[in-house]
Amino acid sequence: MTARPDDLPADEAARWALRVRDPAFADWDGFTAWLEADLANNAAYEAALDEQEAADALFDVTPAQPVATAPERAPRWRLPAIAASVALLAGVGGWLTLDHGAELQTYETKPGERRTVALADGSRIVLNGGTRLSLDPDRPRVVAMANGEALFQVRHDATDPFVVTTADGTRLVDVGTIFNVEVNGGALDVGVSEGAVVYRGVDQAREVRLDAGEMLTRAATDASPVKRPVDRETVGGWQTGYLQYTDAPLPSVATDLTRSLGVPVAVDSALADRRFSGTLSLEGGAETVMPQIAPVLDVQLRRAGDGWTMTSRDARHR
Amino acid sequence: MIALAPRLDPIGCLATRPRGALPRAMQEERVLSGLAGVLVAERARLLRFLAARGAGDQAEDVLQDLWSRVAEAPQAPVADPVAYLFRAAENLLRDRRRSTLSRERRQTDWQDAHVGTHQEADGERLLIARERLREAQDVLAAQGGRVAHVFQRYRLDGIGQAAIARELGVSLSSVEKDLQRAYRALAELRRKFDEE
Repeated sequence: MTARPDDLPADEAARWALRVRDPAFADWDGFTAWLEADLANNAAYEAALDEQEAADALFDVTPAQPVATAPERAPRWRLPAIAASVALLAGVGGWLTLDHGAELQTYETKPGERRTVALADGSRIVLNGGTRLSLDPDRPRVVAMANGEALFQVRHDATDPFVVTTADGTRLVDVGTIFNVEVNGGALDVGVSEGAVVYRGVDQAREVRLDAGEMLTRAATDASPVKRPVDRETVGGWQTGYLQYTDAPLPSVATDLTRSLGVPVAVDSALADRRFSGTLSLEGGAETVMPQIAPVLDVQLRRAGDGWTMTSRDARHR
Repeated sequence: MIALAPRLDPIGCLATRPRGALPRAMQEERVLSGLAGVLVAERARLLRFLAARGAGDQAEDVLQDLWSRVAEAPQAPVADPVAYLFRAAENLLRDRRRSTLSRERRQTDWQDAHVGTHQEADGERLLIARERLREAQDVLAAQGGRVAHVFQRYRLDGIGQAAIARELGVSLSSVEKDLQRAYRALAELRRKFDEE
């Protein structure tokens, strides 16, 4: 290894490649000036990009890819290219369900584990811990979410909307979007960070449009969905190592902690109705996090077997 | 019936710029949609970038290509249209590069084609890929906890560099250095793979 690697032209190119690849990059004039400074710089930059992309590709391995030996299936149905595809979808309902006999690819994470699925069209799904979802590799823009929480960063295509379905038949249709979905049995939370999502309940009659900065909460499959504002910055916040809440019931905070930290967190029944507003940092794993968040949540967190239990602070029993 | 996202008026996405300061080209091209209008206004800057970025004397052609994509694309609000156009131009050049590379690779693969059914080859490839993934993870871990963590956040969790820096309470340039170290180590590993 060279003593001062930062002085090599190749490293300068690698730095520019890193900067430009960051979605927040804005210094395009500075980049142009650097490219113009030396005719060799563009080639060095391309080489650095090639190298970084090749390194990235090392991590693009899907475990247990189903072997494609299935007989040719019927031509898949496509939405006609019309702008009002969302409205059209309302009319066709069940056509987009997944039960057409194709082998599905299932992605699953254990509690505490996280995983990113990059789709060919540039869309990404980030799975939080304890999550299971599946998709047909031939039609990856329809995702069936069985359980858990995932952040969808979707490349919008008005002619081929991205659809998330849940086991009870609820459908979420994107309108150009970053959104977070949390499924717990029939309970559903949807938060929209960018773009919009159309929610269609099981009864097919009820549609709710969620714009950026709005979230929908539904306590159970047959419960009415409630729409409320949400800070768009905090949608999918678990991804950044923080959980942020506004008036959330403690049991759902406990579910999130279980999912993100990988240890079971239970709530004493006396606290089941308590609510929490605030931010929890997840940095450092359960051992570090638990003692720190107990005072924030205004609870006692006690070890119980493999996991932790939240109990009331004043209840000093035992 | 659901209302679709409102369309932008021609100057809608330049809302932060006072009306009087609009470039001449924009005023003349009022019929253009937002992005196309910005493209006209920023033409010189984009051309200069494209030329320096490897398009050379084909910069005009690439800009034309960019123009038709922007004009065809469905309208959606864009937060920073200038950055968006530069990004689109960068992607366009990158796509060209990739298709050249894969054409070259296809030709080599054709020459190297070996006997064996497709399925066997796929299975073997997958095993190799998994083994390489494991080695890549080891190499990252050997770079130290923070380098591995930063790479994980950036590449696998898709977090921006500024957000990672905030998260860790370090400077943006140290995040950049960590990523550079990670990529340098992975490049070395890949050279080792190529020799195998």
